[in-house]
Amino acid sequence: MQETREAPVRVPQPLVVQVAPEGDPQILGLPVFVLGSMALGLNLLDYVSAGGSVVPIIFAATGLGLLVATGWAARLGQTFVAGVFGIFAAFWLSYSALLLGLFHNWYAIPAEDVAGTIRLFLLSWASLIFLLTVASLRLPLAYPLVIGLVDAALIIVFLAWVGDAPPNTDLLKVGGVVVMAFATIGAFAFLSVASVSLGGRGYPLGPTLVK
Amino acid sequence: MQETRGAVPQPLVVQPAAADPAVLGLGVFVLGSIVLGLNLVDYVNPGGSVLAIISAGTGLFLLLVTLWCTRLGQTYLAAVFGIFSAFWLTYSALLLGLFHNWYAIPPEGVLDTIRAFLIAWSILLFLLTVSALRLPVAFPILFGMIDLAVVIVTFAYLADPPDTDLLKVGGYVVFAFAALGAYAFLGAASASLGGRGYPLGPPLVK
Repeated sequence: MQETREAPVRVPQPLVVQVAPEGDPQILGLPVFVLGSMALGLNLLDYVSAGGSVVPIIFAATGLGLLVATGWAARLGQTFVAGVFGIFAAFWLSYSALLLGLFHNWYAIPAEDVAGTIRLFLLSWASLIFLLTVASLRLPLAYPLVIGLVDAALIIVFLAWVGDAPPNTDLLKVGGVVVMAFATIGAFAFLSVASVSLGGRGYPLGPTLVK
Repeated sequence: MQETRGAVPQPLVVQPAAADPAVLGLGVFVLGSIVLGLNLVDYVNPGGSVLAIISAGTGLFLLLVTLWCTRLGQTYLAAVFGIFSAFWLTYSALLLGLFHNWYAIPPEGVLDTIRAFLIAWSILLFLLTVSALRLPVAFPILFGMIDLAVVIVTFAYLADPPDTDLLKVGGYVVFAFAALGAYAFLGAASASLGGRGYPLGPPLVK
């Protein structure tokens, strides 16, 4: 009789299921966004008039913090959240680069073209944030509202810079009020995310406009 | 009876689904294109006016998106975003270097430097356009229009001083591909939130 003994099969059997670490990147992204917005709002409201007063916060906290939140969201597979945080990180970092570049003449822009350069920056960002507002209509109302208010603030500040420098300070203050408004909604969303992360209930963020 | 002696049990790790880098990548690409288009159509004249956005916004974030694609194993997408990141970063380096004379280029060599930069990029973008023919038609059209804009700006710089009318034509082509990029951005964003992606056409080569 032929011996048909089989070779030992060594199949590793899963014994433990490890779920990859999750977490919600909004818990970091929203507060640093609110922080940068408050610094910008206070600047536009002329609490401190020097534009450079916002740079430490918007560069080292908001810009870099949103960059970290972007990587976190990407790692979790949250495409749109990563897109939003990444775009806002780009906004704050490029705003820092604009201010630093203008202060130190890195970009060789003549004095008479500084206002035009600021308008160019604001108009380009207003265009992209408009697209982002449209793209966010599938989210709860609070999110397109925040992004739409960001766009409104950019357009108002752009209008304040239309014409010869110096800019229209009254319009800048209106822009500052709009910035404070979206910072407030962002703060509300942050508290909601924080509540959920600690086992509580999320706050109502409204219905979605597009389903 | 099966012998399993010596087998090491491996934990099963459940990973979240991969995120799509295209939403961020297309968004910052559109941003850089808008600011470049506005500069070329002479909304603001100094070339340096675009630098804050194209370096700290578009160039840097396309680099981030490139790394994100490599992590997901998306070879071609990583190459596309990496090449465009290189475009915006080298354009920034060209402008900053010329403004501050980092490259020790004499004034009579500046125009030739710009021409060499544009010619080199137009050749690479042509190759990228050809390589993209297996993608939905929107992408080779997008790359082809970018290449066309670079070629038009190259011709503008053959004149001394540069031909501003041709630069404006280049600016309008930039706006056209920015619009196409915006359409692809909205499609990717819609898909990421559970909606439908927008149609991008069939591939030209199968």
